[in-house]
Amino acid sequence: MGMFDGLLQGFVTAVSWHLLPYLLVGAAIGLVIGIIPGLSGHFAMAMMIPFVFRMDAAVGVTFILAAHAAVAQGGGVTAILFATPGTGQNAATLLDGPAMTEKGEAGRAVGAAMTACFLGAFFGVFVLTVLLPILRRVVLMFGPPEFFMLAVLALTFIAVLGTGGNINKGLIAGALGLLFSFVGVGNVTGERRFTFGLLQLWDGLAMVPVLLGIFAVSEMLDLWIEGGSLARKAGARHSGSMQRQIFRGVMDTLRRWWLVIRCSAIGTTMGLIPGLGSAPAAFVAYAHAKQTSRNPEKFGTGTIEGVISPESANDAVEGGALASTLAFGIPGSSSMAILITALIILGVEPGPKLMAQNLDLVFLMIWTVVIGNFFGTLMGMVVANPLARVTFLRGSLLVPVLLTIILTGSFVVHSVWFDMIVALVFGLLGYAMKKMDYSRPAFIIGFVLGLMVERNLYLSVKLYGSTFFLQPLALGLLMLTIAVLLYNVRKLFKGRKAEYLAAADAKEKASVQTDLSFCLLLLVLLAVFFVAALGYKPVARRAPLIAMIPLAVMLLGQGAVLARKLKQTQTQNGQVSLWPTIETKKLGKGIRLLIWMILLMLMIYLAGHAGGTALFLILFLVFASHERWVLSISLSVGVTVSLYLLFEVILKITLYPGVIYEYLTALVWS
Amino acid sequence: MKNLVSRKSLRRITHGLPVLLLAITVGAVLGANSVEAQSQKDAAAFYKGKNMTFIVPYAPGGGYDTNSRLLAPYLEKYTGARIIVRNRPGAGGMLGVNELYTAPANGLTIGIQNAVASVTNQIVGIKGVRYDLTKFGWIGRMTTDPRVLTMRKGSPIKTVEQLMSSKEPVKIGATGLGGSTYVDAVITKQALNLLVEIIHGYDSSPEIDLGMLRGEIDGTWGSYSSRLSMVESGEQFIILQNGKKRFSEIPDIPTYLEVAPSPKAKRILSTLNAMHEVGRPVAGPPGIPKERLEFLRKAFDKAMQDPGFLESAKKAKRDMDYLSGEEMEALAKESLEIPEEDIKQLFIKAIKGEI
Repeated sequence: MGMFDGLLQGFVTAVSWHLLPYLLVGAAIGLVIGIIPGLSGHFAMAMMIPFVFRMDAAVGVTFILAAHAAVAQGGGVTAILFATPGTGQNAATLLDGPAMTEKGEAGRAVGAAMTACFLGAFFGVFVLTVLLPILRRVVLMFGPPEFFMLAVLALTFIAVLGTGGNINKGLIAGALGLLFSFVGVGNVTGERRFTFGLLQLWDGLAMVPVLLGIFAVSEMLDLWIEGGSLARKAGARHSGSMQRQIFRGVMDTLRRWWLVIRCSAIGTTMGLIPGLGSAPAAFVAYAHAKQTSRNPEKFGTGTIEGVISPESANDAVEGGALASTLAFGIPGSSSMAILITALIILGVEPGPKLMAQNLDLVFLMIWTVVIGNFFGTLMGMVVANPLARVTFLRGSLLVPVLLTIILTGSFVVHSVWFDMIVALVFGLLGYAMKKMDYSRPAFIIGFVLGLMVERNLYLSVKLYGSTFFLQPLALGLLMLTIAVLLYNVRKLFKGRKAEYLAAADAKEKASVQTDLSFCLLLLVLLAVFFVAALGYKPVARRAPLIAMIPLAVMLLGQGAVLARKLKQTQTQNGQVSLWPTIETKKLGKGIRLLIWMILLMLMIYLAGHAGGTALFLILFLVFASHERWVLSISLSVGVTVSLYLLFEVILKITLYPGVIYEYLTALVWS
Repeated sequence: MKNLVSRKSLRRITHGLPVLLLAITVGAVLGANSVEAQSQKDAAAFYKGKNMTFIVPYAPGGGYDTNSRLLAPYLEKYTGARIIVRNRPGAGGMLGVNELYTAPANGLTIGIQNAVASVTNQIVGIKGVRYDLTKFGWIGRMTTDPRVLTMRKGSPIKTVEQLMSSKEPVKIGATGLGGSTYVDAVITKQALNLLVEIIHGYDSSPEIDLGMLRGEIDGTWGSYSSRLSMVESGEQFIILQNGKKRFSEIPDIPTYLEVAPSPKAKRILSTLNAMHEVGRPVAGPPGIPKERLEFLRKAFDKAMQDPGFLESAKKAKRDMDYLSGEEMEALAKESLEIPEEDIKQLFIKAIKGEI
């Protein structure tokens, strides 16, 4: 079958009356799942499997892939409007998306993001199609040496992400992320690292709770402490002109087509790395956009490029992941693994047989991804309007509701209660990092890539010896990495620093004392980890030490700089206390919210999700937000019932039953 | 004496006695049955309409989860209870197994586990193990997964004999240090004296598959079901399997017990095989009242043989390998026993990744 014929045939089949309804329904489901924090494309597909049993191959494939394609769209909407990543893919959108919402440009951001996402998916799939004949050879070019180099290249982008001129802080954040990635029992060493006796940490820190914590929970903390609403600096309401804003956003993306292409290329390439997931690709694309922009200091304050770049990349990744899945039946990501299961259930064997015998199905899949994404985009834009109005609601209402949704989302990923604690702890860290200008995206890149780097380095050396990087593709990537590093270093010396610093001072920052205390706190944490690492096998402690030693050096350097600054202000203004200067009112609010969050988790632990959430919401709304009883009760009942319906009934995820319930049932029926 | 009992009455006694004895015996049997039936009825009455928890120590969507959810409706059918599947992932499955072991022993909490991992954890005495495999209330085994050694398509090694006599080191891929792909590779290497370099550290089997396609890795150990698609597509082929007898789907492939070069090697490989026999069983915590455990075992037996269940398992391509609860009890004990000290040390070192 010729390529063109195949594509045409695939398109015709995809939009046929027979399949179109499944495409639509699948996309709608995917969109909703994307919007719910904690649920991802992987989940969407897992949920569809029971339905797939009764379908024939074309229908089943269309249904599943359409859902998967639309998930990132949904996630983009919540990331922009509520600073909550619906999925890991949309984490990078959190950098500029919410900032645009704050400025009242939510609609524009949504329009741009969804268009970018669609174009990215289209690009990914287009590349996939073009490479179809040589797909096998392309995928096989990438092995441990190439994965290692790609991961290192992605890591160098951390340097770019240092907000303001503060590359040091960016690097510290990245190294910290690297360190946390080593928590758990690694495959390479079998050593239990940094678990501190907690069985729940054996499998490491789960990415989604960390992500939700560091970006969403911290945002809630900020919103609560600062007061106001998500659309803080909005000014007049723009509800009617939302459509106009969305349209403007779409135009913005189309006008920056070259950026879209570059970022999509980054996404597709990184999608070829098995198991990488789309979050790092989005961050790397963001960093690249920032690096090549004329106004890099504007990134993080709500630039449209900061939204377009990650969204172009995150769905392009799926094109790459689909490539290795189709070519070999080897899943490029966890959601692809489920696709393979679904295909097997449908009686289709992925791999070379698929390419040889069912090429028509392959083309159908390609078009489903594109069209599913397209429908997701359309539906998303429709949904964005009512959702956007929510951002104008006052924080005192939104914070408790969103917190329960976010924490539930953290739980639901692996059905582990402990993950809620993880989200909370990283929420605190994320808040501190936000206030003191430590780059959270740098942290995430380090966190996601750490284990990957260790594992692939180990495998590369074992398979090819210490000169593994001399292999052609790996060598090319190494050159690229060095080039990027040199470029950044040069930029630094060229005096662009002044621009950075000027922009940095304009934002409200924490005082020098607070900064210094945070620095010291990190050093203490580092010391604890260091002592723990000394007790591990040499093989096991190598990678963490490689992260820890530069981290220690940088922290000490940072501390020294701050100390000197403090001395300067002392000689200017006389004696200044060493204690961190935090407004006591803000501190009080922060600590109270923290206590409330702990209360929520305890209530869920005791009374189960439904009971705990309802109780928490009523109490919080009345006593902390000072809302009226009627409103509080109706809102909390509404939210609890919705959560219960959605998770237990529709999605069949059993929520935490609560200790009291389990105790009672054991008592009654013993 | 003969004067006291007349001949007529003696005849009556001798003729009547068997009848009487028969009557007593039948009565006793009926009585005993009714007592047992009563306690079984008690158990059935106990379970009717109640909520049971079925613990799966892994996240939703995986193999254990799928198996459990396929079985649940049939267990409901034969117990009369409602079964709620609860996923409790963590620590490679150990979290869920611990939780199952320490659950209330009223018979309302049961669960599935990767018993092979439970065995190896207990043998080595891993910190964090809170269970004793011999004390679980075994309900029955759902499935085992035959283990196979596959080679990549272009490999010069085509049979296990060639592997055993190879002069060049063969690269075998494995995932986690101490995991089942690793332990299989290490133990067979020792027992069969193979010239093999074990490259562990891969994140998952798909990554090993990719390595094999690139020619970096020559072969790998894995479960039959996970290797199937690669074998069917011709990218890999099987040269060795485990088991005391050959698995019905691959009758032409020798088992490692067949090719063991010495009695000692045979004993080592038998131990390895016994460890895998435990497979994926369903159990309850220790101390479940006897009648309830019996009831659950019967329900499990019936569920596993229900044509509806077998049909849905076939459609989902999940192989079943049933074993009763009693047999599981014996098997659990056997899997933990390694009588020879040096063999035991070998296994402990392999599981710890010290080889």
